[in-house]
Amino acid sequence: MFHTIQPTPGLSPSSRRRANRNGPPATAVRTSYQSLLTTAGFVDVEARNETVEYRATQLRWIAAGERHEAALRAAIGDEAYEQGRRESEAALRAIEDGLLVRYRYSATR
Amino acid sequence: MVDNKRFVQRHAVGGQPVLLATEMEALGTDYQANGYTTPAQADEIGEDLALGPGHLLLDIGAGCGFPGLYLAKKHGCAVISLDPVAEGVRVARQRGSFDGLSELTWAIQADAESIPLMSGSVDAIIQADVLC
Repeated sequence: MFHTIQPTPGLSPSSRRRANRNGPPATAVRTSYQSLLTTAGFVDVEARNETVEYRATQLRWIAAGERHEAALRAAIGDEAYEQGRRESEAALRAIEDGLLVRYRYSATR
Repeated sequence: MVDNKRFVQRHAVGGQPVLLATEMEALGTDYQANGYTTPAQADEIGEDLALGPGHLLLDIGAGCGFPGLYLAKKHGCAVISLDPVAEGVRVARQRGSFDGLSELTWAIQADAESIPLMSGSVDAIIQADVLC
């Protein structure tokens, strides 16, 4: 059973590229996870869309980062703080533009 | 490709109060987690996998141990936390001990492409946002 963030299925090539740029580092999967699991011999493959919760959690991370900005900058440095903030905000925009989704997959072997 | 340097930096400072505070506000956890799995989602995982005493769970890419250690504490199952970054493994090991779960939890530094366990030796496998 695993969670993963991925480009929304069915995106145009340009939208997929944007999803890949604004998602986590290894978001660029071209094959569906369902087919990968089936090919690997798993059965009872299920996929559950948990993007609503993903968006809510991303919003909480951003809000918490803003509330604690000064202390975070002191703890991790300005560069790391600003990079994290840029990435979080870019991911949020991609989620809200329908480009990134988070799914929970389960399967049995 | 895992950015190990960034994970090492993140885990090395993860225990600082401000990072724990932001984690608590964002996720509701205190495991030095920085992902998107909430305790409610972890609870669903535990229920859907019917975890309990006598079960062995493998948490791949566990980082500092969430949600595997959380599930071990809640359901009484054993858990192996596997991660390629030494800092995360160290923190997961400490947390397992702190929670009184030393006899139920192990933390192993290993890559997911070369898991040092026999096939079929675990009852369930989880991973949270490792493939992305």
